[in-house]
Amino acid sequence: MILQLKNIFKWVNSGGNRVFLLNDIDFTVNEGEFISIMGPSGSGKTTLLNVIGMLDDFNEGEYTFLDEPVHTLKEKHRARLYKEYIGFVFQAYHLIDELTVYENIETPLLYKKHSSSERKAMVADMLDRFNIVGKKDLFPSQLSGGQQQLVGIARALVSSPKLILADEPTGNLNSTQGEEIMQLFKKLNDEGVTIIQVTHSETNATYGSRTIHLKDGLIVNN
Amino acid sequence: MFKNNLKFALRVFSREKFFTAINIGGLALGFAVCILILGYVTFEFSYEDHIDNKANVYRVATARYVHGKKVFEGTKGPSILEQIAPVEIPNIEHATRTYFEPCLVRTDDKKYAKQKVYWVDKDFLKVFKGLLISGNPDTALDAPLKMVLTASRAYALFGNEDPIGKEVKVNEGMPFQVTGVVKDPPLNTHFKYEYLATLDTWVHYGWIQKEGNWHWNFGQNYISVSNQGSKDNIQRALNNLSLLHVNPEKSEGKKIEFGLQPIEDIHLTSNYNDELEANGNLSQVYIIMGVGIAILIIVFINFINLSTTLSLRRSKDTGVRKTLGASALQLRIQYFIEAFLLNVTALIIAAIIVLVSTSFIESYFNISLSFNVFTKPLFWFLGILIFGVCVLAVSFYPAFVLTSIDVNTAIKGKIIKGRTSHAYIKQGLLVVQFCASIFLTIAAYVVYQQVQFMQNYDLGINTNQVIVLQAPTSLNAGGWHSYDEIAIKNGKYNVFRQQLLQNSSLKEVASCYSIPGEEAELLRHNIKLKGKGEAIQTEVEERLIDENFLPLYGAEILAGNNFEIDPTQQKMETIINEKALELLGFESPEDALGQEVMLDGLLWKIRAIVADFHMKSLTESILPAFYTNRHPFAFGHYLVKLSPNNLKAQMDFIESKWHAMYPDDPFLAHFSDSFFNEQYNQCKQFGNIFNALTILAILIANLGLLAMVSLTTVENLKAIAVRRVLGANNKAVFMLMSKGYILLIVIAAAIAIPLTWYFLMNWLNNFAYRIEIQGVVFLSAVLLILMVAVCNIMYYVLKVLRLNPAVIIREE
Repeated sequence: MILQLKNIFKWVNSGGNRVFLLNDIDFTVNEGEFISIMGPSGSGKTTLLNVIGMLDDFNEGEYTFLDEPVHTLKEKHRARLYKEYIGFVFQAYHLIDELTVYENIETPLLYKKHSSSERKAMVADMLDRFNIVGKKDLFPSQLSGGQQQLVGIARALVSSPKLILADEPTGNLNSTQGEEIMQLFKKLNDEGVTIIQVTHSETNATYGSRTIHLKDGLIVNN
Repeated sequence: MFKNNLKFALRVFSREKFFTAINIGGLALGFAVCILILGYVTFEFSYEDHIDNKANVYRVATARYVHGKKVFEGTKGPSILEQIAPVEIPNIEHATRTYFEPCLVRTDDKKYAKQKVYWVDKDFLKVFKGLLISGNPDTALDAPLKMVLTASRAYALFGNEDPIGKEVKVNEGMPFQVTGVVKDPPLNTHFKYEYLATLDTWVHYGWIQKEGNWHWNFGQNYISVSNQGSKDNIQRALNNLSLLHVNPEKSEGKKIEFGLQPIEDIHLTSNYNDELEANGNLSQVYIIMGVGIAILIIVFINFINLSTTLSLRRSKDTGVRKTLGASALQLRIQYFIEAFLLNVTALIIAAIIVLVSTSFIESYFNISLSFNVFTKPLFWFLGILIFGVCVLAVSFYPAFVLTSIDVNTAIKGKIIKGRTSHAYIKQGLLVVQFCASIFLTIAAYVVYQQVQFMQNYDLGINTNQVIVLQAPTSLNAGGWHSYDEIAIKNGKYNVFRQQLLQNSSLKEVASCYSIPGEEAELLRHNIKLKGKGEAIQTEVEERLIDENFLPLYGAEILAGNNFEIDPTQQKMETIINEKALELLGFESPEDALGQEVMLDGLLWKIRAIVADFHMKSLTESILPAFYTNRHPFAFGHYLVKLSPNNLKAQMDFIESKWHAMYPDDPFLAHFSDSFFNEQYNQCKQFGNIFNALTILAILIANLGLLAMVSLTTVENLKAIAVRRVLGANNKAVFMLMSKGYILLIVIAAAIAIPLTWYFLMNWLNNFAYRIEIQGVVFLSAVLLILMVAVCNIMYYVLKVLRLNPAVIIREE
């Protein structure tokens, strides 16, 4: 088991009413799973992903990540956890515009005190693995959307996380590019990386081993 | 890691070229101004640095009282102090009198007029240590007819030959032996000697007694004290000494009080009427320092506001980095590095600006700059420390804002508006900036008005188109003790005058001793109307003029008649001004006519009363003046009134006549009005510096405002677009974008106006003749700042209005 959510509630108060973003979420992710979260706009998919990624707080419930009770941890400790074990992939890629492909991939390593030669080796490995050695000195604006997302995934993977969180990774891509990215995820999953993706697309969801449907912050089937 | 930080910083700068340029430009200008002000302040505080024992040297200022009423206060003091003080008071080591006199100095083949000769006592070089380059300090000034001169005067007289032992003739031909050479006085001294001649010479010729006395304000008294002597103790000892010799109960109510002035402080704090040169002004130095600090604050506020707003634009980058595991500290380090890079770059540019502009600034503002501090390690240590702290302080806030943004908001990649607390801080800082701008604008204008007021003030005489010629040096060379000798010179002058007047362009020719703008040659302290009770103890001017002086300057005679010459005799007649009339207690000018008045023992008959006119600048009140009719001896002036047209031809004519009449004397001429206005140099200099600093400050503040408006416009682009789609017209868009700033300016004006008013009232009180502050000045300054701000906003309003709102909404 990699993580477990137990009775998670998250709400905002709006004009005296309590509006639930997450409503009694219960679910467990085991190592090696590939989970798709689906649901209409505003159903709480991204909020759930952010809670799992520890980018967002929740109001009630228990969250255990690799046997650590996240809900009781201090901010600093939590940051150490996700820095170590989680990689993010975004719909809009979120590459840093001022950095080259190489530097973008290198950035997470900078925050983890790897030596310079280690970093070089790890980034070179990623570039090789994703076949983008030739593009390492280009800036994000010089790449196509698919290529940018490839770099985004490489960046998420470079520090070998246990879990990849992907928020509509193919949302900004055309179908061919999207297909390639999904194939890549599938391959990574086969290599043992646990993946949780939020998606709108039934096709993409089929790559996963399990799909969770959300509606108004509730899990409607599992 | 550091390399990555650096690289990233540079890429950010190159993306935000416009804002980076404004940021660096503003900082560099501000730093440059501050360094220049530092140079100015250092110079002003470095006076008398060339004297080895400057901390132990004092000038003794003297105040005289009669029956408790102050009748004199100035730099000059009793002539006996030099002889009695070092003997009677243990901690006074040496003392000297100094008496300044412009002299004619000659060798067989060279002749220099109006040389700065100081007559001093034998211990002068012991009071002022470290001046002598060659010669013996014990014997150089110990006997009559010995003289020490500066290196550059020695070179002027003798070239590269050794001047020691050479002979120099002074005035009518006193033969001096050169016994030493002293350093040239630097610019930063109040005491700009060229020659030091022994006062024993005067005793030798029988002009003064060897023994000084208590009642004659002879010249400036300087003393050097031992390290044990404190200023207060010595001052008390001096006052006890004076009480012993001049006791009010025994000597007709007279009393003398001494005040010690450390010579280092004379330049900035001493401001008597009889100073050796126009001194600086401590409050002026402080005001300029204050403006410097204000500029630094404006610059840093720009930096904070720009950086904070820009950092909000970089929220996406920050958010992404946070998800990649960056800690707040790591992100802040990135930010500090950028701040340091910007500031250091600005500092380097500032240093270049200073290097390039120093000589221009010195000549344009007529000031001296000193960068001596840069050679001192302590300065560097403190400088780097203060710079580092400043940069940390100003970058802390934006760095804090940058890293405190919520990741989820940040990562959306939009430009997010600052939280309200950020907005308040930003607005608060802008108010401070507007305050400074308004304050400086009003103050600069009032300072300018006061300078203009003084220059255009009706002096009571007309100094326009009057040429002042330095009278021939032969006036001085011949001796001046008999009226016969003066009469010969006067005869020659009269021929010269007639020759000039044959040219119909030249309206009038006159002669006098001191011209408007110069100190009176004679100050009288004992005035008594013949046949009326007690003498009046005060200070009045006696000036020597001829019968053409008053007509030439267009002075108005209220009663009586101008002088008439009688070649056969010297008439003891005087023309007095209204202040003197008042002093003597006459009701009307007519009452005074024909009355006789005693000035320090000489009896004069009042011939006429002239309307008051200013002989000195408007910082001083008009003194009671007695004009007496004598051809100038020593260094007088000849005056020529020209016609307004074709000045060049008239000048050429005068020069040719001069050379024909006085072939041995140089033709030295200047305009009377510009000479008079030189008295306002310090004031004008202050006004110029103040104006320049104000323009710079407003420019820098405006750069910041421009950038701010640009950034907030981008922030608000969507809101504006939505309103336009909903039907807002151009006026509404303008109001939307500008109302925040206008409110800030109104708040700033409310704070700045009382402060400015208070400051200016204090400043104007320094002037005997001053303007009143008008409310309209305040109003127009605020309007000006408002207009400049509105122009900035207008520029962006027009830019926004050119965009299609539909496109903006779709993009968002």
